[in-house]
Amino acid sequence: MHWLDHSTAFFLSELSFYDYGSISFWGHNLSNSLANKYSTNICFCMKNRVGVGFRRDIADEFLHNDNFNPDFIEFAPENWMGMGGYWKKILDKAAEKYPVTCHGLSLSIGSSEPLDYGFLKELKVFLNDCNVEIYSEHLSYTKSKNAHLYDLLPIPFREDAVKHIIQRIKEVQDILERKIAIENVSYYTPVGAQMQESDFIKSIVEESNCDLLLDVNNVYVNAFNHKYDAMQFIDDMPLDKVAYIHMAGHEKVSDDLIIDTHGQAIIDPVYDLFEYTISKIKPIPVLLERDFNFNQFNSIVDEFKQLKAITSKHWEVSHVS
Amino acid sequence: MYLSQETKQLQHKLANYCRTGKYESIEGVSKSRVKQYRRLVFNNVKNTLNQAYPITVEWLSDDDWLFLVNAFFENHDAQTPKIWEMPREFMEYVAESNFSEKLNKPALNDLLLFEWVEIEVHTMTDVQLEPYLLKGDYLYDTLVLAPEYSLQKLSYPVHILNADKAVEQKGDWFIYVFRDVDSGVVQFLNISVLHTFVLEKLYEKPQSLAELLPLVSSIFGFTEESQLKEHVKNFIADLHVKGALIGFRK
Repeated sequence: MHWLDHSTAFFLSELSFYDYGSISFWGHNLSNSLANKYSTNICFCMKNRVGVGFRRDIADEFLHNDNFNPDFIEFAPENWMGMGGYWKKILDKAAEKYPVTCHGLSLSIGSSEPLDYGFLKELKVFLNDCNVEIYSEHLSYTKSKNAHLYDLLPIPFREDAVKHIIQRIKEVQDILERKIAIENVSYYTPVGAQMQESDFIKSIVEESNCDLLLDVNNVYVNAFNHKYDAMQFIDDMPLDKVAYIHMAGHEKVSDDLIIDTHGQAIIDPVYDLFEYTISKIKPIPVLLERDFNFNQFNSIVDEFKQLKAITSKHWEVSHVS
Repeated sequence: MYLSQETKQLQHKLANYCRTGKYESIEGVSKSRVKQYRRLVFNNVKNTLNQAYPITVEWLSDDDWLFLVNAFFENHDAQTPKIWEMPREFMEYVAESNFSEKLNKPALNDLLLFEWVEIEVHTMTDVQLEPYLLKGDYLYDTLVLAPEYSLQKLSYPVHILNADKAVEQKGDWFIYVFRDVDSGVVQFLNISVLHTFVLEKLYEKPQSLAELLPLVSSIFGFTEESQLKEHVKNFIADLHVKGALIGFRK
C-alpha cells in the first residue's frame, strides 16, 4: 500500500485485483441459464486479458502513453471512494478508457467484529457507479478490536475461522448483490494453525460460493517462506474456482524470508509458476501489480508484455473457438 | 458467530503487537518473523502520516514525531476504512490528548489543522452547481463562489510563518481555503474576520453584495457605508482574480 502526491501535501495508498471466469459476470442473482450464457461469452471475451494496477504515480501513463495499452485496470476502492476534485477527474477518465476491476483493502473478512455495513453500502454504490466488473478482497484481517490497522494480517488456519469467513463472504455477496473473489495472501508466520493453508483456502472458496483470486506470487512467496512445494500447492487449489490471477514482484530480505512488496520486477521462477498455473485453467484475466518503484516505467511495460505473451501462448492456441 | 474465543484471542494478540510493538507469546508464531508485521504495519501508518503532514514532520524533532505516531497508533482505534482519511483522526487525537502542551509546542494543533485542511479541500466530494455566468456585476449580481472550501480560525499564523515564529503572534487568524474549479489546486488566503463573515454569509445563502452589505454594516458597526462597500467590493474582485469567485447569477 502506498500513498502519493499531488501539489504539496497529498497522498493515497494502493493495492489491487480482477476476475471474470467461472460462471459469473458477478451475476449473483442471475438464473443458472443466464449465468451459463454469460459464462460462455465471458470466457471468449476475456481470454488473454492482462491488466495493470492503476496507481496515482503512473496515472498519466494510463491516460496518455500510446505505447502502453493494458486490457483493464484495477484499483483499491478505499483509495478513491468519496473523493472529488483532481483525482476524481483522473479516475473518471481512466474508467472511461478501460474496463475496471476493484481489489479491496479494508473489508477485513477475517475479523471477529461485525462487518462494517456503512462501508459496504458505500462500496456497493461505488462499484456500481464505476461499472466495476469484478470486486475482490484478501483472505486476511485488517481490523481488530474495532481498530483498523491498514495492513493484511494472517488469519489462523482453523476450522472455526473457515466457518466464520464462509458466513461473512455469503453476507457480503448478499449485500453487494455480486459474487466476490477472495485472494490467497502472503504470510510470514503462521498463527495458531490447525490445518494446511491449502485446505483452509479450498474449504472457504468451495463452501462460500465465491471465486478464487489466485495470486501466483503469493504462492511462490509462501512456498519459499514456509518450505512447501509451490506447484503442489497450485494443484491443491480449487482450480475450477480461479477467476482471476495476480502477478507481482517481491523482495528477498534474508536467506529464508521473502516479503511480498509489489515493488520489484517479477522473477523468472514466478513466471514459471504462472505458466504452470495457466496451463491448468481456462482463460481468465491476469493483473500485473506494482505499488511503487515506478521510475523505470518501461520495465513495467515490458512485464506487461511478457504476461501478454505467456497468456497468448497458452490460451490463444488452446481456447480459440 | 463461529469464531472461538481462542481464535479471537490469537488475532487480537497479533494486532495488539502490531500496534504496540510489545510482543506477548502467540501460539504457533515465529517470534523472529512476526517482527515483519510490526514493521510493515507501523511503517504504513507512519508513512501515511508523514505524507499528510510534511511541514509538521519537518518542524518537530524526530523523537517528538515518532512519539506522536506511536501514541496515536497504540491508543487510538482508527475508524475510517480509508487510509487517506486516517490523518484526520490523527489530528483530532493529538488535539484531544493535549500533546501541544505536553511537548511545549503551542502551534502544533494549528499546524496539523492547516495541513489537513489542504487534503480535505483537495479531496472533498464535488459539489454540483447550477449554471452561472462568467461575467457580472460585483455589487448587484448574486455571487457564485468555488463550492469546495473551508473557513478556519487559527490561534497562530502557521499559514504565513514558521510554527516557532507564529507562536509569538498569538491571536485570531482566519484562513479561507478553496479548490480551483478547473485545476483542482487548493489555495489559501489569509483573511480578516470581516472577510470571513462575508464569505460565511455568501456560502450560507448566495446573494449579491448589495443585499449583504447592510447586515455586514450593522454587525461590524460601520458608519461610513461607502467605505465598506468599496472595501468589500475590492475583496470580491480579488477573489475573482484568484479563482475563488467563479461567476454570477442575475
